[in-house]
Amino acid sequence: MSMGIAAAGGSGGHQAVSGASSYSTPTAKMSNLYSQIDSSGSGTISQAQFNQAFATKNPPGVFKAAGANSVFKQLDPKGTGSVSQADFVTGMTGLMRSLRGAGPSATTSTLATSQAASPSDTLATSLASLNQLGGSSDPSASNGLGTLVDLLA
Amino acid sequence: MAALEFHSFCFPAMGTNCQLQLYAPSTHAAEHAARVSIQEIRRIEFRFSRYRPDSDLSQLNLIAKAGGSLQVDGETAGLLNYAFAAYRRSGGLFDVTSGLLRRAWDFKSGRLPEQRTLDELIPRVGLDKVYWNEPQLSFSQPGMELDFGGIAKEYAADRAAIVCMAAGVEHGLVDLGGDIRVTGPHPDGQPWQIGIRHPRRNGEWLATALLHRGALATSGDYERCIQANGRRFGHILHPGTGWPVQGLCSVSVMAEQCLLAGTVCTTAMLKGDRGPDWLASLNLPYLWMDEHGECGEHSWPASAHRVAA
Repeated sequence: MSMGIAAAGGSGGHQAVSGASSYSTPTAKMSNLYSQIDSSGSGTISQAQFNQAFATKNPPGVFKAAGANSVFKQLDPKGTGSVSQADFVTGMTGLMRSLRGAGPSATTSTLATSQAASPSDTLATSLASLNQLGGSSDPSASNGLGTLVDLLA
Repeated sequence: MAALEFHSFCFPAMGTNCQLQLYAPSTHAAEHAARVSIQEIRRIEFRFSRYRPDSDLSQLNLIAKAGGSLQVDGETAGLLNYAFAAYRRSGGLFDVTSGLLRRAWDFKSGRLPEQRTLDELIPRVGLDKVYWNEPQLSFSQPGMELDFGGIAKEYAADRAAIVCMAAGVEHGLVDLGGDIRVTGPHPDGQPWQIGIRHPRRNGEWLATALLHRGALATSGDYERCIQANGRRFGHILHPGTGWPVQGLCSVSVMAEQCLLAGTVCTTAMLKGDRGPDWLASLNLPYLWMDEHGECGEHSWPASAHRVAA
C-alpha cells in the first residue's frame, strides 16, 4: 500500500511516498489498525492501549474533537475496559461511516474555495496540458518541477 | 511576517490514506487550510465515487446500464472532456469504460478469470461506443459503465492543492495515496523528498523524487495482482483484451498537474513495451522499470543515480 509518511523527514528521509494505487476496504483498514494496537496479539485492547494509539496515530479531526475517552466508550458500551477485534472493527467502521456519511454540502462555500480557480477551470488547464503533450511546447518547460535522484541498483 | 509552522494532517479518503503537509503562520491557519482542502476532496469523492450508490457517477451509470442519454453538469463535462482526450492521446488504451472488466477480476481470490467471462464484457467496453456532445452524453448500447477511478483521485489532489493555495498555503504537499501535488517547496526553498516504491523489493525505494512544484504520480503492477502460471497479472487491464498489460512494472511521472501525471504514467503502463518510447516523446520527467529490472529515465542529474542492470 502506498501511503504518506506521518511527518516530515520520515521513512528513509522521505516526506511522502509514491507507488501503485491500492484499495482496502474500511473493514480491512480497521483490522490492520487493530493489529498495530494489539501488537502482542492478546485478542483485546485496553483503554490505555487505545489512548496511546489515539495520541500517536493522528486520528481524523472529528475523532480528536470527540476525545479518546468518548470514542472508547462507544466501542465499549458495557464499560468492560477492553475491546475485542470484532467489536473494534465493527465499532470503528460504523463511527467512520457516520463521520463521513453526511458528506460535504454541495452548496458549502468558504472563502478559500471561492477564491480558488473553479473545478471547470482546473480541468480545462489539465486538458490543455494533455493536448500540448509532446507537441510544440518548450522542451525545458518541465525542468522547474524537480528531479528524480538516487535510483537504487 | 510570522514564522511558518509545519503541520501534518492524515485522513482517509477515496479508499486510501491521505496526508496534507502544510506550512502556515498558525495552527488556526493550518487547520483552516486543511479543512477546506479535505472538504474539497470529499466533495469530489461524493460526486464521483463508484463505491457510493448515491454518487452522481452511480446515478449516471444507471443511465449507462440502460443505454440511455443524459445531460451533465459543468464539472462532469470537464472530466468527460479530459477522459475523451486521454482516450485519443493513448490510442484508445486509457479508457474510462474499462472499469467494467473488474467484474471478471477478483485479485483477492488469486484465480484468473474465465476467458468466457471476459468475452462477455469486452463488447460493452470502449469509449468509442459513447457519444459525447457537451453537455449531452449518450450510450450506444446498454450495459456500459463509466469509472473515473483513473482520474478522480488525481483531480482531487490538484483541487486540494489549489484550494490550499487559495487559503494562503504557499509551501505544502497534498498526498492522496501516492498521488502527489505540491503548492510550493519548503519555506527554505528545498524540494519535497518523495520516495518512489521499488516495484519488486518491498520496503525499498526505487528512487527519490525532489519536487519543487507541480505533481508526481506512479502506476505499477505490484498492488492488486495475481501470481499464476509463473507470471504476475497486475490490475491495469488492456481494454481490448481484458487481460493485464505486461512489460513495465512501475512508471513515475512528474507534471504540472497530478491529473496529467497520473494519466501519463497509467498510459505508459498500458502501452507495455512501447511505453518507454512514448514517454520519451513527451518532455516530462519520468522513471520506469520493466519486468526485467531495466530502468529508464528523463531529466535526472547524470551523476546522482545508478541504473539497475
